[in-house]
Amino acid sequence: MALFGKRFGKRAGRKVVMLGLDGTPYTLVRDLVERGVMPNMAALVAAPRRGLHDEASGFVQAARSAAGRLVQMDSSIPEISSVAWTSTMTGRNPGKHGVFGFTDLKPGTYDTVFPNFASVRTNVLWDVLGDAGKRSVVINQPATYPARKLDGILVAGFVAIDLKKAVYPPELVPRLESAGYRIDVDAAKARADMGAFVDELFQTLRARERVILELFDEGGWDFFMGVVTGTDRLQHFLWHAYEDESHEHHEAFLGYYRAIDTLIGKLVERLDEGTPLLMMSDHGFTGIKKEVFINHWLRENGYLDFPTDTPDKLSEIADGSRAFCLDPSRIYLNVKGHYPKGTVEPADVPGLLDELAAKLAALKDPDTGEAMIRHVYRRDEVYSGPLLKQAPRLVLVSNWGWDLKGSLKRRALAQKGFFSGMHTQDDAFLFIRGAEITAKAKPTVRDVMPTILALAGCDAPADLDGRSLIG
Amino acid sequence: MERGFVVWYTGVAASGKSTLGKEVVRRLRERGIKVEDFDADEVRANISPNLGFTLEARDENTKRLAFFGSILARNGIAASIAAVSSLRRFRDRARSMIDRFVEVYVKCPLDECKRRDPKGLYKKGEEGKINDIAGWHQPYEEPLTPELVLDTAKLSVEECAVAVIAKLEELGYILKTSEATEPAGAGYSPNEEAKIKKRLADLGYL
Repeated sequence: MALFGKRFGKRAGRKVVMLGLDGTPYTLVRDLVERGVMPNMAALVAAPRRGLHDEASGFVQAARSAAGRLVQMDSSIPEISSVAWTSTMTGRNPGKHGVFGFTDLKPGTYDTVFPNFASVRTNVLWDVLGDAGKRSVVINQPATYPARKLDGILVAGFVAIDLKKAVYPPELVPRLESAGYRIDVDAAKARADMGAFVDELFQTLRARERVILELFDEGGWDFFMGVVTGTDRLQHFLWHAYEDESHEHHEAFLGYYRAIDTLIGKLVERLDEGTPLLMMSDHGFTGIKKEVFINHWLRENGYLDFPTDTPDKLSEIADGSRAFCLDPSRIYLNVKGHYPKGTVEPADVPGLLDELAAKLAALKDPDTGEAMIRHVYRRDEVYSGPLLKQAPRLVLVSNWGWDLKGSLKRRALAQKGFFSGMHTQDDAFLFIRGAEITAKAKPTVRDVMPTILALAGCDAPADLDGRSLIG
Repeated sequence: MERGFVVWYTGVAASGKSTLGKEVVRRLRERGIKVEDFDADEVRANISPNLGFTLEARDENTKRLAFFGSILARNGIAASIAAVSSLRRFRDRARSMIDRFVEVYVKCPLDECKRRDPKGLYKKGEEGKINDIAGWHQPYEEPLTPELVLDTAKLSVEECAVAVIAKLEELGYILKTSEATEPAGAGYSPNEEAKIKKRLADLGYL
């Protein structure tokens, strides 16, 4: 006993395993569990709690771990994967970590840049684990490209381009290549040939599962994390196939989640019950009623102007423009001194924000009259930290069904397009087995990092916005 | 712990050793690599201001530099050393002391060095005030098998720095993640950016 005394005291030395399912909604998991599509998930959610007979040994947590709890979780604002996953792995808001969307503007210009892992200004989960001497294996985590050094293995996910730059250590690249590993499916295929797209989803998942299980089985890690991103792709293009039982790809949709459930089963059978298991999604999903083009509304209402009808770039913005929107729903004011063609006087900012917030909150579907906007967030409601001034002035979150877009070219307020599903901000899921969720408030993605650190027996950095969910 | 390495820049005065060394150090630090920058003249000024420039003194100075580099490298820290180190035996001794040693010959014609002359050394030579400049009054022994030869009369500082980084990657002393830590958005080539735009557009984000 003396030999292991130190470990018991701190409950240190525990491994933690996490499976991420990009865009899988809480309500979908509940539904598929009830319908018998995800039997392994069902068993985890329903597992009875064991007695606490071995409390004296110090393994209370382990005994409880046969049970798990599935809860609904909030995504980031806006509910975009790059923001949500970066908030997950940093435990912080974009005002600290620096990723506000898939696109951003070069400071003082209208030029678009694509933030990447190098834009992340804080440490991430596995940096903190590494400092505590713990080794991480992280596979297909979105928003981690180009991969950077860590104590362990990182295979970056979306929007990774070149596998050689997506992988640390680089020696792993040939192995991934020979395993047929793919970073992502070719989403363009969904337009050309949906059947081929579905086939590719399954092939990509199989190769990803192979790599996940191989690296899991090789051991040598303290934190293991695999993410499946095909769930998000499937739902972008085939959400209606889930809702419509007569759809030709309905079975494929369910089949994909059966395959996910099989992967869950394979991971669970490898785990001893003392090892905590987390599963999560970065945002939810629902069917699109209409896509809503905020820049069109700004143009129609005299806040934004371009010399051409369908501009390619924001830098074509006309003099006199007062506001513009970056994808999906980030509103910026064209303030004098901040942008080359800035026209809004700093003193007029509060009044203009009030006016815009009120009008945008009242946006109605032009055909049905339904309210399209759930909430208009002010900058300081969403963001805090050193990068606050780079943040949008307003962020809109829509009601389910109205997919907000930052397109400059689309000349309609609300229109049905090719896409089938859209993200939801309030319907991500979190599952934890191996510790009791004691937090009373609804969890957010920012809470995941401090929760994992607590499970691993590590101290969380002081500047996190998230809080550990376990007691 | 990872092992460090030493990049040793040799070449006549005003050939561009320190300028290149500083640029490479900057790039290494951007990647999060711990690296110390040694400039022979700065080390002299701090450690042994009275050392002088006799052959014995030069011998002594390069020995010290090699010693500093070897200590850092074996503790996982890289070192950049810019020193004329005019004789082969000075450099060969450094190589024998350091496990992962990268000799970079910073080559530049004497006329061009005289034109640059940032420290006014050649001017003093012209005026007859000094007569011990390596490669002019004293021999400078060109390296026979350096890891890299860079002609600074033809290449820009940036081109030379890229070549040094590429050599370090090739030797496996640093990782081939050449754009891993560049600032926001700047890490993508136009080709990559086009691919990213397409992927985001395919999912309806642009």
